[in-house]
Amino acid sequence: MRSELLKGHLDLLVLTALRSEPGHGYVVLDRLRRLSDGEFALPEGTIYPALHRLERDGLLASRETKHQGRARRVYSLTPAGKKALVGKRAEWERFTAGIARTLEAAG
Amino acid sequence: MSDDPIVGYLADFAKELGRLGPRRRRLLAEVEDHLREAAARLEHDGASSDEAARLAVAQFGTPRVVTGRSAGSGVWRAVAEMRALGWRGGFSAGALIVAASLAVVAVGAGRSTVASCAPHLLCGPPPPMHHPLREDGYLAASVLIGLVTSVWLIALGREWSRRHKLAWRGLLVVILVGVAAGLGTGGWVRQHAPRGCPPLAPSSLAGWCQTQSAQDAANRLHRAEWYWLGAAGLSLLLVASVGDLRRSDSQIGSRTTSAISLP
Repeated sequence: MRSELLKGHLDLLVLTALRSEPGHGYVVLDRLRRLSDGEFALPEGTIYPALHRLERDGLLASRETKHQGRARRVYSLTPAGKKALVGKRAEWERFTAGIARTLEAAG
Repeated sequence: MSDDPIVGYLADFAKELGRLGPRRRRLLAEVEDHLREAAARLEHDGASSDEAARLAVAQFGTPRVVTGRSAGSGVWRAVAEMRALGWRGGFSAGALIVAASLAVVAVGAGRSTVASCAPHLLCGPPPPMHHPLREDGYLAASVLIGLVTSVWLIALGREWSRRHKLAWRGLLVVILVGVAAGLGTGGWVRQHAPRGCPPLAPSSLAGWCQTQSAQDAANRLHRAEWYWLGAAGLSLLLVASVGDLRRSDSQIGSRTTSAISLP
């Protein structure tokens, strides 16, 4: 999928990837790859600005852990993040349904 | 520079971040953790160690692309920009002060008698002066210059060994070594050289030397202060350059102490 298309929905994807359990940036990307069957191909580094932004907005919380001597920051959904995920998902479904209806109507 | 592509990438990344802020260390640690894990995964899948590291870096995206999304435009970024300008300004000011003091010491302190006594080393030191603090100025300032330059060189050398991208700073090191050596040697010689004309000086210079030596005494008082100014300039260079190094890429990964604003 084109990066430009993906960028607008990165927040929803990141929240979705963290819905079931916390994870660090690499795991989030890995989950997105698996869940999308490799469809999403962004430069991996772009995940971090999204994670930081969501944390700043209070939708994610993070804590630092140690892994093989390295600092690792693990993110998890906050209650506000869970609520936002529900809202964004509903918004996305309305949006795609609207697109689908439009395309079908146009033949 | 390390042969490890990840280390090289982190250096570039840190340079791209380049500014101070509260989250720079955190971002660099996250990036390093990501790259190490990605490389380990690729290596597990059959890539060589070097190939895995290069591929992990390539998949992560260029520092400019990533930091372009990370740097934001908030207050921290503005503050960081101002700090960076401050470092550069301090560095430039220090260099200017050193250059000015060098010029004055070399040419004279603005008194015609100094210019007329160009071959100072032939003329020897002046008669005893009445201000011990100033009289000792040459030596003390020379020692200070040596100390400051040593600290500066150690900090710079350590950083230079970490990255080979500091070629211009290497050149600056050479220049500063010359400056410090020149100032230090000049100060010491002027304070300790034997009075009067050296034994091998032409006899025709003897009278001229004695005359100029007396006239030069007052100038020495004045020029000692320029030695101190040179030392101050070097100190400013030290603070500014070390600050600039800390700002750039010596602080990668676990050693990082500064930070960057994030969106």
